[in-house]
Amino acid sequence: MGHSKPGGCPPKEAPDGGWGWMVLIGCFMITGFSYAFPKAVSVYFKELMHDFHIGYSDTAWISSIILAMLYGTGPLCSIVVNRFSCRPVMLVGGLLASSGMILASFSVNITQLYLTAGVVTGLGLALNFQPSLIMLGRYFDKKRPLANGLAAAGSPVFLSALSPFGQVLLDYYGWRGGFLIMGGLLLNCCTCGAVMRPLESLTQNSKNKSEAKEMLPTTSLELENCQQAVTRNSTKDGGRKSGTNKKSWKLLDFSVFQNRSFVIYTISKFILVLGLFVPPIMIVNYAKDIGVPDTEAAFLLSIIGFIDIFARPLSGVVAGLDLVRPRVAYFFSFSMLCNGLTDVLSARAATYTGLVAFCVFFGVTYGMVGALQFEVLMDIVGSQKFPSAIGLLLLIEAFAVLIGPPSAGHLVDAFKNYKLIFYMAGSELILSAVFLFGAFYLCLKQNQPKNRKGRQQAEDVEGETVAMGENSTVQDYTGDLCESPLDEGSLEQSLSRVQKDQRDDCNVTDADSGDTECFEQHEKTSL
Amino acid sequence: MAGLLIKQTLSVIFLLVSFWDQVESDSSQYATPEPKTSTDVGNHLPVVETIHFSGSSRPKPITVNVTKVTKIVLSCNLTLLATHKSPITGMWEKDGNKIDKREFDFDQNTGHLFQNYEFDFQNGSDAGTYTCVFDTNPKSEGRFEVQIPPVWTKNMKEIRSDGDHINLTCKSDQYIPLYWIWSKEVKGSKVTLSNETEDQYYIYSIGNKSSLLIKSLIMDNTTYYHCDAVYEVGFSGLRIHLKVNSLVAAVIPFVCIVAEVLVLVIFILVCERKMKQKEDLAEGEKFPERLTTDELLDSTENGARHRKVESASVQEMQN
Repeated sequence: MGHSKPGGCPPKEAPDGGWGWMVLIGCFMITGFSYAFPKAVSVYFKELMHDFHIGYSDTAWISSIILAMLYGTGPLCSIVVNRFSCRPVMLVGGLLASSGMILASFSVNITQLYLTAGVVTGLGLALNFQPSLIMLGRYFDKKRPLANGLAAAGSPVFLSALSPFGQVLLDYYGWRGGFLIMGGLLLNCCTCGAVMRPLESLTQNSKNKSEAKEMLPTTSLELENCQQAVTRNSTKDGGRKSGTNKKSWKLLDFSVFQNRSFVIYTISKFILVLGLFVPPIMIVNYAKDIGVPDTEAAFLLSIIGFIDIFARPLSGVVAGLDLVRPRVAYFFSFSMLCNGLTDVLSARAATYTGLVAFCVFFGVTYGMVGALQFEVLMDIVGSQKFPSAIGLLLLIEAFAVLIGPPSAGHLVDAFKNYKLIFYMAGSELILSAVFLFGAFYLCLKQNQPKNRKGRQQAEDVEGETVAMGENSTVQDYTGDLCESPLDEGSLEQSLSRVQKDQRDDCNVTDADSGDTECFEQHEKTSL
Repeated sequence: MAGLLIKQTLSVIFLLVSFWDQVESDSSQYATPEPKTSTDVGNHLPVVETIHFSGSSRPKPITVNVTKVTKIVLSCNLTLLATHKSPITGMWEKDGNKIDKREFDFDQNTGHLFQNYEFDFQNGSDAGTYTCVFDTNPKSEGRFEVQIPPVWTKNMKEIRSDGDHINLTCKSDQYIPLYWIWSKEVKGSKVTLSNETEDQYYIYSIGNKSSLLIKSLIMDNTTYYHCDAVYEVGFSGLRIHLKVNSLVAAVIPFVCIVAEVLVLVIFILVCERKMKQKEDLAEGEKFPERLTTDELLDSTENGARHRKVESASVQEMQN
């Protein structure tokens, strides 16, 4: 249990199990729906082209719009989650997603489809996806890499399941019936949202009060402080808008950009996304180009998907090992490097066996990258700022997604050479890996002496260990790596500010829902 | 002989038409309602098709469309250099199988080699690919595709929604069949359709066109529909796939899914509320609400016993 602080209420620890497994299942399903849906809709394109007398590129816009909404509405979702809590947002998101598809089944032209199946469903999926990750980060701490890996496995599983299912629906009911039933399936996102029980903070209600009293240390002074804090708070209405709490309750916390690790991670992720999705898109055409029959070419994609299913949880397990967990960012850059090397080395694959080998290695490394991407982010920014961080990150990634694959397609059209884009994608990945590794390593070297000094000071001042327990170092590692210049100079100041913030945060109550940003799953020595 | 030099010559294809005594069709063989052949009796012309080619060229195959019982003469005219050694053997093949094994001696002086093959086209089994083969070096072949003319349609696959109508049309170009047959596939076997059988189907055939109108489509109409143009010598047709989409039929599974989701969500939320209530009750028993700090500090067993004693005394008094 966390150490007590004078004047502060002990924060709630992540369950790391129990109900967390249900949350994991919900997150698994929502990740699956979010990533697989744009692909699953594409099986309907042929009939849509026939019904509305339009071309393939017009129908392909639907997938692009869904992806754009998923990535581009990141900050909006962050704001909404920070304002309300996770569960209502997810329930609304599920309703939006399913109603978008239901309305789409009644549309009479392609524009209505763009608006309903594209915008509304995409928005609903986005409103589901982000909060599910946030809740996962709250429910798991020690087992978080494994949880991230398992949840990320939802994407390939649903990819391989939804497309054939969509085909069956199309064959039997036609595209309208198929959309209607897909809308019904998306309603299960609401079920996943209902599962995301908020982790209650301790100052919520009488039950928590008494629980707190049971667990509090025995000094009466501390009791009094805590009690005072509680009674003081209960007289406030809402409490959220009070002056002391304002600065720690931003709707969209741009201060994540002051975290150098986050900036490095964002840049590296941007470069990564430029090249990551290109090979799976191009591999089938490339295979057909070198003479592989159609069915075998399509089988290549299923190889990638199948291996991806297993690679993700396994890399989650590896990332959770004591040896790897403190260096999970390096592990992430290693997986990106492997993916890039796979691309580059297989650019000259001229036989079907070579392509199969490429798909195997690509599946493994793709799974590693997919499983670790949010784990590293959670590690860097911590659970308090994670909602804002992921929103901003997804928005920045949106630009890369818009640029990357289409430009690769243009390159292929221009030069008629698939090797070129494999080299390009591989080099982008390698660049991203090297950048991440190098930048983190440099920052670490820079900060290590300062950090050590700062920690010493903190210990002296406060007279207690400030989360230097065995587990916390593990979690704080990447976060501590790079501090912004502002914070470095005044570690003491920031420390006391953190303490004050934590105390104030503890007192924030949300009248209707039990979810606040108050507790910290891993205590950070500095912001 | 190896190294045979064959001069490339221009080949001109011309059609020889010679009048023959007609082969009268025996109308009792066919159960035709209207024997159209009666008007054509006496005018069955034998069809003669000739391919001219020189040794090294590969001529294009000629398609012979046959709709009536006729005699067919296929002729190949090969032009060679005079320096070619004789004798050259030749044969005819039908669909890859030898049918005429005679050896011909050919006229070396004119440099032309002829091969003729005559047969009566009576039914579909006479259709096929007839090839005249000359045993030159390399082999020279001329191909004839003898067939009953095919029918065409605009779309082989049609997709409609339920409640719509659809008009399936088959055309046979310049050949007018005796009549048209429409049928649909039901569990692997063909079921003939006609205007009398069901209200839903209406067949309209005129000349070289025939259309099947299906009104008020329902999901069960999703099958293959065959249109066959029947000639004297057989029929040719094609099958069109019709798929009927139904939004209404998808409503039932949809409602089931929605019901399942509602049940799950309500179940989860109710369970959560019950658990909360249970925990509240449990806590309420241990710690009554509105504890003050003094009570807390004082919260030893004395305090609890104190209260218990009080309540016990109250009960005693009541009793």
